[in-house]
This record gives sequence, C-alpha cells and structure tokens, in this order.
Amino acid sequence: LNRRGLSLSLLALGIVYGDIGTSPLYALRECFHGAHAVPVTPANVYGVLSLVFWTLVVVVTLKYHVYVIRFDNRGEGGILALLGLIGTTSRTRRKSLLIALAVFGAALLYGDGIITPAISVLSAVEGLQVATPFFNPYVVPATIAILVLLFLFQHHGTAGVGGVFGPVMIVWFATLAALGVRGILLHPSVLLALNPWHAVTFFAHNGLPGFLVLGAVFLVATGGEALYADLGHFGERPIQVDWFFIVAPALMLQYLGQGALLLDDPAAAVNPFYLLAPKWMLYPLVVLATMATIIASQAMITGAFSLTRQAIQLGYLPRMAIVHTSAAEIGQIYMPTVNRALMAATIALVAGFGSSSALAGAYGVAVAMTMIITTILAFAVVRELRGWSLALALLVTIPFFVADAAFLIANTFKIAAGGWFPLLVAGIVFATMTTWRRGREILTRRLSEGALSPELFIQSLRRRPPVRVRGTAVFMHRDPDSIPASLLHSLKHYQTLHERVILLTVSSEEAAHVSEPERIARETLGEGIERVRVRYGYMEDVDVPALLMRLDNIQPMETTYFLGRETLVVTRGRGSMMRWRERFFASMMRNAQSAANFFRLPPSRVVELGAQIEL
Amino acid sequence: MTIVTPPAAPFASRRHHPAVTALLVVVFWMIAAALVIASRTFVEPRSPRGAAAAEVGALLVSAYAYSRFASRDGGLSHALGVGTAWLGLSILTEVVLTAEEHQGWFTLLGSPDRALFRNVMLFVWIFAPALFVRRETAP
Repeated sequence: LNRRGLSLSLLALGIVYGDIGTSPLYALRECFHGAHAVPVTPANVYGVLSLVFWTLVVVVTLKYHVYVIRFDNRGEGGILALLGLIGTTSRTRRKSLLIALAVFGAALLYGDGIITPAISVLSAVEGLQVATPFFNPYVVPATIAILVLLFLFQHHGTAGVGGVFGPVMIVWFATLAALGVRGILLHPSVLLALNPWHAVTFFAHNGLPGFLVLGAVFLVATGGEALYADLGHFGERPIQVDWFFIVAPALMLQYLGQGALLLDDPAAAVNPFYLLAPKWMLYPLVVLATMATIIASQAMITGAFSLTRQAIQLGYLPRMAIVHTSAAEIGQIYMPTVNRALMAATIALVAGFGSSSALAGAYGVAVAMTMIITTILAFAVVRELRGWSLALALLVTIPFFVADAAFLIANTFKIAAGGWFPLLVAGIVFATMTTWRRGREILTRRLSEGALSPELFIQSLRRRPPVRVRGTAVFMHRDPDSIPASLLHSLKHYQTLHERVILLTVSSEEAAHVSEPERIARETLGEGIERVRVRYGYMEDVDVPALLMRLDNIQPMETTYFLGRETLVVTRGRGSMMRWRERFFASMMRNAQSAANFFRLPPSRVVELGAQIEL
Repeated sequence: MTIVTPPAAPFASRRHHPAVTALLVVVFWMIAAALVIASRTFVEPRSPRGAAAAEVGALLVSAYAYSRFASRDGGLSHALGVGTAWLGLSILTEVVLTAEEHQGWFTLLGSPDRALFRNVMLFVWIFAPALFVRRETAP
C-alpha cells in the first residue's frame, strides 16, 4: 500500500470495522449468558470458540473479503450496487423476484442501522455495572444522552473529527488484542479451539440448544455486510489489508482470551469482555469502548444516509433534503429526516429493551436475512454477468448459502424475543420503497397517456407561431419522448413561448457514477426548442443550474424553470394499486421535497404548473 | 435632527454568549428540578398518579419558560441539546446524592422500580424543550 492507501486503511478501520470490531462487547456473553445460552463447560467453550473462529473465516473472510467484494458496481458495493448490476429496467419474473429481494435486503439494513447504535453504545456503557452496581440505574439514561448527542452532532458532519476515528480504532483493536493475549496466557490450551472438530462435537453433544446458540455466535459477524457496503468509499485493498493484518487477528485474540477467562472462571460469563481487563483498567476501558461504539454507530448512521440517497436516486424513495457537510468530500452528507427517524427509533429501542442482552434478541435476524439475500444476488451476478458455469457457481454459492441459512434459521428463534422489531422496520421501509416505485411508474404512464410528441408539437408551432419572449425557459419532465404538460399549459394560458426552450430530462442510472462524456445528450428539435437528457449515477448529486452553466453558459438567474406539480386524486375503479397504497403514495408525493430544491433550482426562478392526475 | 435607534431585541431573541447560554440552561434546569422535587414531596403522599402528572407538567412548564424567555429563536438542535444537558445534570445530581446518602436517590428521574414512569420522565427531560421550538434551525 502507498501513503494514500495507508491513510484510507486507517480511516476504514473506524468506518468499515466499527460494527464488527465492537461485537466482542456482547457476542460471547450472549453465547453463555443470553436467552439461548449453553452452560459454561470446557467442551462448550471450545465448541463455541471454534464456531466463532470458523464463522469469521467462512462468512466474513471467504464470503465477503474474497468473494462478494469482487462484485462492485463501478467501484461501489452494497446490496443496491448488486441491484444495479442485475438491472431494474428489463423485467422478467425471475428478475422481478431478484429486484424485490434486493429492495427487501436494503430495507433490512435500516433495521440494522437502528439496532447497531443502540446495542453497541448500551453494551459499552454497561461496563460501569461491572465496576459497581451503583451505576445500574444510570446505564439507560446515560446511553440515551450519548445517543441524542451523537445524532445531534450529525449536521456538523464528520469531516472535522473523522481524522481521529482511525487512531481511536487502532487503540481499540490493540486493546482487544492485548486483553486477548492476557486471557490466552491464563489458559494457552484455548488455542486448541481453532480445530473445527470442536464445533462438530459441540453440535453432537448439545443438539437443538447447540444449534440455537448459532443465533448468538452470529453476532460476531454482524458487521460483515458493512465492509461490502463501504467498498466505494475505500476500495478493495485498504479494506482487505485492515481485515487481514489488524481486525481479524485482534478479534480472534480477543475471543480466545474471553474463552480462556471462561475456562478459568465460568462466572465471568456475565460480562467476559470487561472482566477480562484488570480492575484498574475498567473505567478507561469503558471510555474507550464508548468511543469505539460511537464511531461504529457513526458509521451505521452515515451508511443509512448513503443508502437513502442511493434509494432516492434509483427511484425507490421520495426526494428528501440532503445537506452536504463538507465542501471537499462529496460523500459527506446529512439527511435530517433520516437522522430524526433513526434517533427516535434508536432511543425507543434502548428505553424499551433496557439492556444490551435483551437487545441481542432483536439483533441478528435482519443481518442474517441481508446476508443470505446477498449470497443469492451474487449467484445471479456470477451466472448472468460474469458468465460462470452453473457447476462452478453452485460450488461456490452452496457452502455460503448453507452457512447463511443455518444462521438465519437459528436467528428466527429470536423473532419473539425482539427479532420482530427489525423485521417490522424492514416491512415498513419495503412497503414505502415498493409503493413509491410502483406509484411513480403508474404516474409516468398516466402522464404519457395522450401526450404530444415533440415532432407534432413543432409542426403545430410552425403552423401557428406563438409570440416569443426574451430569455430561456427550462421545462423539466420525466419522459423525453413527449412534450411536458407544463409547456402545453404555459402555452395555452400565456399564449407565448420563450425564445429559447430547453426540454430537460434528468435520469438516474443504475451505475454509481456516470462519466462526463456520457452525461449529456442534446438534440435540436427546431423553433428554438432543444431536448437535453442528463444522466446521473445513484451516488451523485444533481445540480441543474451548474450543469446548464457548463452546457451553454446559461445563467441561472436569467432562466425560468418550469416544473409540473401533480396533485394525485385517489379514485375507485382504476385499480392500479391497492387503495391504501394509492393513498400512501399520494401522501408521499405531497410530502416529498420539492423538485426545485432537489435539483437546486433558484427558488425565485421557478414556476410550478399544477395538474390533477387520477391514479 | 431625529435619531432613530433600532428597538432592542428582546432578551430571548438575542444570540447569547455561549457562557450565558450555559448559565441559562443550568438556571432553568434548577427551576425544573425544584418543581419536580416539590411535586414529589408535596403531591406524592396524597396521590402518586397526581405527582407523576405534576412532575411531567413541571418539566413542560420549565421547558416552555426556557423557550419563551431564554431562547425564543433557538432551533430544534439547540432544544435537543438543552434537553440532553438537563438529563445529564439530573443524572449527575442523582449519582452525587445517592453516593452521599448511601441509598438510592431517584427523585429527578423516577425510581428504577417504576420502569415505565422512569422512561417517560427520561423522554420528557430530553424532549420537552423541543416541543416548544418555533423553527427548525436557528436564524
């Protein structure tokens, strides 16, 4: 790695590995002290440690770092990137199913995004309980105060403090490793747990309870999906270097150290992470763990902003306000609506569940589903895009699928204990995304019904030329093959047309970025009318005035932007969607951020012309 | 010649020095805490439910007073920050008094034995100032 690669690696430690790096706070504790815990016997400790090790090897290392990480969409990773690779435009029944799976996977990530800050900060603050029970009543209030501050801080962005994330996480992983070594020295024989045979005998001896503990073992891998989602920010190499040289060794030493402590003192199962530390280190460790969990939470929150922006650009969510918190880094964004929703849900979770152990019951179901969906989508990608033979694709996919399915089945037993929460969140988000997408499709169809083609329009202008007024008018609309209704309304009521008219269509592509030569396509239609199509990637921001300035030095303050404003009327009879979905879509349309804001049009230069559309 | 002087902005509308803001936050927290303690002391012996309502009411009144007299133009973030600071001060007070009295002193947040009410108080401490915000962001 060069200097830039090293600095990216340092930054990635906090952003990519915050989630998986803070799992030692609660993962092993849940195996021996959680809802489906197994007794702390030497055989069980070896068995669980073996499962932890091989989970990290198979799921995190082989599946994500070696296999899935290769499926980038022009550098971007994550489940929506996979969706983009598969393509959303041409629809077959199989493809529709894959698209629905990908959208549901994206919806599940919101559930994770809510639970991760709650469980990680709560488990860090719970270290105070290990010091003295005196602090018990203050764990939840203190956690909530920290979380509120964390969410409040979001509108400042992380540009100022992002630089300290990496060094803090270096100290965190070094501490994990050092404490792990301290534990291993208590019982060096714990290293024998790396033998997979212990995992096999664990299942043989424990039966169903042994299988159910997989739901807790899975907590060691819950951050796996994040490393793929953050691929675009850091690239493959820095993420892999961090994992193989820092994160994986530190995590393994830590889990082995906790296991050795349990062999030495089974009562330590109540909180093996903190009890592994010497007494003098407890308070500094609580502070360090809280900082690490705040960084992990920050990464999840940023990830939720990024995911939402991608979903908006891909047409799965209504437009929302996006605030750029850094002039230098385009990826640094803040979304007030998402931030508030996450804050409310996270705080409600902490207050409602009350402890990280109770929250662990809710954690895992959504991640396990996301992971299995990723495996299925990756299979589709290797078959359809990479041209792998069926045999090779199955050979690679089946082991991952079996592991994912085992974890998913074990996690389904946690649904009653709180796993319903992320599923409920995912259900709501999924309904929102699919309703918005479907509603937009219907709306576009309605708008194009009876629309006038540009050719006919030009002919009619030639026959009966209207009065032309000075200046440029930009008419924004979705369908480049028709004349926007706002232009027809304008002409009908004002009886005039600007000297220069631009029919502008902005479309979002399934690629993360669009190269400059591919961005703009323009065509002169005649009579001073020009058709311009602009393409943006789903990771890019749309700035129409800046684009027009570049295009032909069109001054934003000397241009009038005409937008159509559709008011939806929900009626009986047409039946394109269920009525509740029609009402829901109409409500989202009313509450979506205005196109003028989204496209960064100067408010004083925008004219909106309304129309009523029956859904 | 007539000299026209612009009218002075009311105290609550001025942008305060951060130290003044901090002082106002503490002063209004003290008022809120005093009202909560008074409710607990005088109303609870007669009606525990009435005391719970009075405590919530006391916090809402204090939050309204803060937003009316100390930060009329404060934004949502400011109000949430104030609420968090109030919660922090309450936790600190309870910890100090519990340590001094060698027994649980939970007057400000409510007893852990009544988890639901404690959660309600927790939310009210944090979000009460935000209920009276007039604008999303400060001007």
